[in-house]
Amino acid sequence: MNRIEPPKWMEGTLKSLLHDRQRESVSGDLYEEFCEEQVPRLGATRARLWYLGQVLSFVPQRLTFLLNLVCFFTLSSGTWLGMMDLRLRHPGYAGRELIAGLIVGQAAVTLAALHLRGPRWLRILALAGCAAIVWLALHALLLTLRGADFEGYILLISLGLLAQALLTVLILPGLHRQVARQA
Amino acid sequence: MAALLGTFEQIVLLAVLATGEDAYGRAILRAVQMSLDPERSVSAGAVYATLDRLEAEGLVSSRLDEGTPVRGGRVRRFYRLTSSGTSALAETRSTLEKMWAGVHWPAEVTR
Repeated sequence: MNRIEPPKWMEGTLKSLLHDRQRESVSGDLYEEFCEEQVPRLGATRARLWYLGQVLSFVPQRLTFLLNLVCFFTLSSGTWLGMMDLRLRHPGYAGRELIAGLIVGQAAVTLAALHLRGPRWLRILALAGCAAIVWLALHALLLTLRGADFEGYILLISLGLLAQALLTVLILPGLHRQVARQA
Repeated sequence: MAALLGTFEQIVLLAVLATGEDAYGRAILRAVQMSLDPERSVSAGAVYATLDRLEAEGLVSSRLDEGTPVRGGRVRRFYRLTSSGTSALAETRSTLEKMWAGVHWPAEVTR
């Protein structure tokens, strides 16, 4: 009789969600549990659903990693924008310095809220700042798309800010519950 | 005094301790599940994330061992408590016991 195994696409998804260090051992643990325990206990279909649930339970870890990456990108971009404007000092540079400051500040606050798990006000500040960066990103996107000169770097930074806001809203409230449980 | 362990961290550390020499991922997962609710699946993502964090904090250590055919030949990661892990668990237990000793249980509920 053929052994029932987890679907290949689910295994592939699981491996893509795991860090290199965990990839073999964790996928092996879940494979073993699926074949040895869940299929005999639940049957093939429900065992596959169990496996899918376990795969999805690794998504938050990956999202946190992604949020770190996006924050580093916006932090670097904001610093670069601020430095360029400070150096070139074209008319209206003071306003652009404020925008760069907002981008850098929001990335720094989000990273701090992610890594310093204690202060609640930091998480609230990071979540509130999302509204500001979404407004900024949408405004910049509209100007870029309507403008005569297409500026790719503004498009890229705006998309980064939107991704940062979305991931922050998805992750930080869960982190708050986790911290409250551990306290 | 070191920070006290959270509830789930204590459960995972106790599961590592209870499974002894056989404390690899799947065995720990099963021990956690049995301690919480045998009828409901425990989230593997939460257990492995906790194990990772505990290892980063130096409360557990791990080593890799060869895979077996029942797991498609994939390696197994075995965990064990470090001396810091044992101390953290003991300190958390002692603090909680002191707190419990100071209260009357069941608590009187005022309406």
